[in-house]
Amino acid sequence: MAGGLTDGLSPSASAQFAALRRRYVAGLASRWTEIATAGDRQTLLAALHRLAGSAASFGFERLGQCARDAEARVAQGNATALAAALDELQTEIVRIA
Amino acid sequence: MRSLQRVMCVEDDPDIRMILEFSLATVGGYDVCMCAGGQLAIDQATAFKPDLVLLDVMMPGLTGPQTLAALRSQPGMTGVPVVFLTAKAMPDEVEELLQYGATGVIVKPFDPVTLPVDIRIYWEHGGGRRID
Repeated sequence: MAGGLTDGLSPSASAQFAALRRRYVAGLASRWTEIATAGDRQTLLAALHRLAGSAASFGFERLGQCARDAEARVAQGNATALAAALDELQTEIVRIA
Repeated sequence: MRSLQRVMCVEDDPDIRMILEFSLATVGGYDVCMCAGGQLAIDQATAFKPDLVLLDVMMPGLTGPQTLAALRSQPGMTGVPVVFLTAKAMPDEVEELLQYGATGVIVKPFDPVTLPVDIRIYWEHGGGRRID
């Protein structure tokens, strides 16, 4: 994944990308609600998986990494480690928003 | 050989559809047909006549592999290259996806600036190379 995602884009494409990033950020609160209120393992995994698969495409690499870390913790079944990973994810969402 | 111009995308996640549209239409300059699910893609494939299909693997309803199998039976779709889009990236999983008859596998998250070139490489060379 390129460091500067929009390097080399035209000014109008860069502006469009910035607008998409704002839309993505605006949706993060509901993404977090899905994660925080997931009633079962499968729902939680799906919500984390979705975030992990999209965040870096919008330039939010750290957010994507946090979601991947939490996804891995769910798979490991370690509740304490999962809680810590979800805390980190929430902190990153708050930082971005 | 036709040039790569018409790209059909099949993806259930609205965030990914949004960035795919930007990547392929705005950055890549392709004509894009965006489908939110496999059945929509099957319904629209013959009319849109895609040069390449970018197909999500895990979707509610028809999965990517099921959609690929159904697309192949549509008129004019037999030889159209299909590239899977997946967040799963283990080598054995990639091999399994290629065995469904896909030309390649692109791993999410993808770089929206380089994706137009990545799919062109699959279009030009085919053969199941993996790009990530």
